[in-house]
Amino acid sequence: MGDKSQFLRGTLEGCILKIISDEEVYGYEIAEKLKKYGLNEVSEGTIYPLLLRLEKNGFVDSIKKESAFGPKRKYYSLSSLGKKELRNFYDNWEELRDSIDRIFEDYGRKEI
Amino acid sequence: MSKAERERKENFELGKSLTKGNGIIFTDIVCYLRVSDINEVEQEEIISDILRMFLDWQEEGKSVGNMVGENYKKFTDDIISAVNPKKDIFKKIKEYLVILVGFSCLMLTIDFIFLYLPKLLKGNFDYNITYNYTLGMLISTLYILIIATTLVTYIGKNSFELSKKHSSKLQNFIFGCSAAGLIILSVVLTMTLRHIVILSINIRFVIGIIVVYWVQKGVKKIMISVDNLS
Repeated sequence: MGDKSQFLRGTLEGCILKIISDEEVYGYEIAEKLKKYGLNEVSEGTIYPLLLRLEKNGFVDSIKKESAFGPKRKYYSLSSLGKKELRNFYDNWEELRDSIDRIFEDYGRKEI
Repeated sequence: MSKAERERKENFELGKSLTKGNGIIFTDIVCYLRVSDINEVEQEEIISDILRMFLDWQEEGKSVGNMVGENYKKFTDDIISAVNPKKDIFKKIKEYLVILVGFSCLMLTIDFIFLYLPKLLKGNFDYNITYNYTLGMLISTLYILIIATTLVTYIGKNSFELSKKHSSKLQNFIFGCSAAGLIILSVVLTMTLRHIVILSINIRFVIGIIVVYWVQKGVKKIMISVDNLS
């Protein structure tokens, strides 16, 4: 239950959408940014199936661009449908977070 | 040339830069994807993405195991479920028909080379003779295709397990005997049924079919080369 990856499963797609909404990024950059925010267990390999799903659902668009360091890279940007999905995700997240916060409001205090 | 063919050629060239270890993992993933229900264009797109990721990690000295987890089958299954491919029975039938026509032309060419080409080269070829397409020929074409398709599907579906497994001498012997048995069966079938004619056509039509088949194959190949140069 306390497994962080279980918590992440449902929310990672929303986090990826937010990162893509900030600027056009490629897979490795997304993983690095997620790590910067503390999600260290995420790698480019683990987010690739999620990116595929987001693209398949029309939430993100992709374009291949030449890279100075090696083969072409796939850059992702948010589609208009993705913007709506991101808004939807954040509204749900806020609602859920507030509910959980209320449940845990007195957590720890009772034991003292 | 189609987008899938262009991408396949590009992936093949890029794949040569992979290290031996990464190359094995990549090949297993590709084999597994090839026998999935994902369509050809999406397959090439995904293979291209994976290849570029592998090359990036290789360049940075990161192991593939660390980036996707040691369970490569799960990684590939996640990809397949992300694409959520729909089974298109008509598309599958069309694919098999294309393979069947191509392979029939190849068998026809082999038959022609052995039976008629020497006469044609000697100059005593009679252009009015009749070519008999026999039941033996049809059965052996279907037989080889079914065996090949079954083998490819089996290897694809079990690519990750087969890579890890080291066959014993006995297993190799049994495999060799089975392969030899299947070939002998194919020859016996062809010989037994070669007297039953199902279609008789003028040899000129056969030559026409063979020429058209190989010319279109050659043109396709030239187009791929030109496309890669540009």
